Amino acid sequence: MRNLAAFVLAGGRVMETGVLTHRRAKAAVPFAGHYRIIDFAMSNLAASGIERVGVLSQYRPSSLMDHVATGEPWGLIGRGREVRILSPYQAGNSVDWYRGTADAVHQNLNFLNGEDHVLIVSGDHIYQMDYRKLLQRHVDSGADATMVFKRFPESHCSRFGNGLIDDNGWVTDYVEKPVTPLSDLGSLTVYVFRRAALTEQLGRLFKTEPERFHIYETVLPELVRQGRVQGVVFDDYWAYARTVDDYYEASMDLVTPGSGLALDEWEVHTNPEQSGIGITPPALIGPGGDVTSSRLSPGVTVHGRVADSILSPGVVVEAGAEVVGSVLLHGVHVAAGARVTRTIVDKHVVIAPQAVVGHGEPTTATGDLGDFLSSGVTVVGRNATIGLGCQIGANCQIAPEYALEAGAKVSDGATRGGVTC
Amino acid sequence: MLNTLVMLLAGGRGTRLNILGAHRAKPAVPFGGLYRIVDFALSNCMHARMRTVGVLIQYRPISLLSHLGDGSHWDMDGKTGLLKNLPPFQATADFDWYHGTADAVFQNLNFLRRYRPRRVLVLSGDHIYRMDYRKMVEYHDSRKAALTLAAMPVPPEETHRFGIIVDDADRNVVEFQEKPKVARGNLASMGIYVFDTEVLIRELEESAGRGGTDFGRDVIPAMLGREKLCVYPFEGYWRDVGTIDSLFSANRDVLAPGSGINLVDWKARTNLEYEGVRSMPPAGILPGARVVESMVSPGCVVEGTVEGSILSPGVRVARGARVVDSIVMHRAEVGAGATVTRAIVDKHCVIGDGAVLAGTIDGQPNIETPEHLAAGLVVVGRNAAIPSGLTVGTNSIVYPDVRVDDFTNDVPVGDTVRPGP
Repeated sequence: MRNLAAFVLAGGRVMETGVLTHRRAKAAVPFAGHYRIIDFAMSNLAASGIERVGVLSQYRPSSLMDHVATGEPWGLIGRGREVRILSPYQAGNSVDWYRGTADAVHQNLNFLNGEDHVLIVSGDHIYQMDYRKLLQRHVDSGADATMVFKRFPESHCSRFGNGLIDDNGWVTDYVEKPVTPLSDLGSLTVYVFRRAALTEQLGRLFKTEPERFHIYETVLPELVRQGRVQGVVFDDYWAYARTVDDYYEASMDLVTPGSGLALDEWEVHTNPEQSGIGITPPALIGPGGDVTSSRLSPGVTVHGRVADSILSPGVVVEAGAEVVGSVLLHGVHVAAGARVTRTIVDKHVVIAPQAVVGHGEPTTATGDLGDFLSSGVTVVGRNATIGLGCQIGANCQIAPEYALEAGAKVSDGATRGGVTC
Repeated sequence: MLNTLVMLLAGGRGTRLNILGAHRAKPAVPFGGLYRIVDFALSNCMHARMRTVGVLIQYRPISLLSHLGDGSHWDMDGKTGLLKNLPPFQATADFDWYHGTADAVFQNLNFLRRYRPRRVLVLSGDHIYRMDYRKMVEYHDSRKAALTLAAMPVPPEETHRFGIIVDDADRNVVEFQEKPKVARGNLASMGIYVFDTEVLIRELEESAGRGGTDFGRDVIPAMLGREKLCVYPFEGYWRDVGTIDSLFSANRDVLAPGSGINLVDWKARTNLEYEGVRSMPPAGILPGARVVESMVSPGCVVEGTVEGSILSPGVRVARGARVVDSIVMHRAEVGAGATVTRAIVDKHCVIGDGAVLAGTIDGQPNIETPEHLAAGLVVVGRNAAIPSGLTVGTNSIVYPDVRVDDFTNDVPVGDTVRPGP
């Protein structure tokens, strides 16, 4: 597709995901075993035939750069095809970090090669979408911008941009994260702009509203006011990982039939160097191992019991250990007799024998992350070690690198180590 | 000047693998879920940093060539690496098919001379093992040998399948018997040779002059007494998987702790492009499914029960199906309620709902080819379809591409089913 270029918004790091985004951009957070969240957007772009993609990234881009690499994993390499990580840079009269999504796009307008349209999508959403249909609608309607909404329970709408669409598909009102929602339509941060309209708006607004740097607070409201924005409603599966609870819920969708998260049909591509396929053997369930309702990545070894869980490459579950309703990222080691329940365990954590991490009991306790970690999910940060026989409750956070001494007890909702965001 | 050049003998037709080796060269036969047999020799080369490799192929090379690709999967590309296909070729004089292992190398002496290596490592592509070839080459140099042969003891009842070496206390070869009826020892040559290049060229030319074509039968015996031949003793897991029985039991060794085969430690590499493996999601074990003592590759979706089995990428096991003590290759499908016991199911097969593959160790051997199949297995060839509800008896062979209407009744024990006209 030669008349459209895409920007992927992958800069974000928000505090709500707590220890999971310690030292990595949210789009680079592992998901579904051997993927990273950005693989979903990248695979959608590739499947839609989009050939030029700029990834806007400023928060700890290293793992994202390694992952996106040359774009080869998504076929985005070769004549006319490219993926570029667009990091902040210095120039003559503009020296600044990306202050928001609009600012990031504005500073990188020179990435565009005269394409007529610009697609802007978020890199940390989990869904499958054919952007060609969106572009078609956009072109046919003659809109300056076309944005995608999804119907949410009204109680959720204050978490999203919220809009109203008339019978002809024109967006008549749009408010970002309203206290009282206008409708049940939440914005999915998937926009197509006419390039000329986008450029004009960015130029004008940066002169007249120098304190507003986000697309949703500058460009969109103005174009909606002019009646130039089409709205499309997306009915299929969509999830994001804004909070630990969101991430956990989306992970559990992987092992919930009928959730709509159809990983076996979506053809999501990833960088194979990261996937563990070919570097490690297929998942091995040893004698005494017992697995049900789970996802097992390559290089996983299970000698214990695993149920309703997602295991990334290189995870080891020893004999007599039990992992239930949990997400174990790369290289996590669960020793004999340990029990991990309803917990997200980041890379390379070692859980010593007989430790008990998380529980499935209902709890009202909330930790330092308040509403963002209140569903009973415990999170253990990267490289932490959980000592022999430790007991950790629900809604707990253990900081990356933290060493929890043998026999320690962490009560529901408590935090250990400096969990800085 | 290159230190060590590798000549990989990958030509063989696996006659004793029957239909599993009929449409592909033996080194291309799938193994251990993700791999093909040749991956083990190539990965050993990669780990030894021997990156210039000539591959001698003659029998049905397509699968193998696709698998080898550009060599990049084993780091045999770029400015300093090469994985070169050496097929039989015509020339102005003296050309012919390859008539044996030595003849294949002899016909490619030009390739060998071009690189002027100090030594040549001759390997077979049919074996499952992990060996550090660097140590063998160091040993060869330290012994100042003209030829070093890797060898290990085999059970006395198997000596007739191997080249048998009699050595002295200093590990010099005293006697070499090729596939003897009455062996004078049980030290078997593993078909891994380090030659000084000049010696190899001279011996191949002389042997060819006498009509010799085979290393074990012609070249090595003729060198005895004239050149210094040393034994490099190997301890560890090594299997020639040239028969249905040995292929099955070596696969089962992957599941058995302490068998000596440890795919995690071996770090074997494979080509992920083939069959689209690199874009497959982690294995999905869905609710209601149960997986015990098995290996499950990416892209598998299990809704039934899997025990003691190895599933290659993309295998589907439907609800209520049971796969027990079996090897199921790429993208094969086991229908709802089907039972697959002691079976080798080749790629892309479809086992109908409720069908039964009834492998069992008692039962008469295959009637047509008892020498190939007597171990109590059912073997289903590539792309075959088994009708719903049909039972296939033990030691039966279902040929590749057999269709549902090629069956009239249940398949009795020891039978062979071929595609209809």
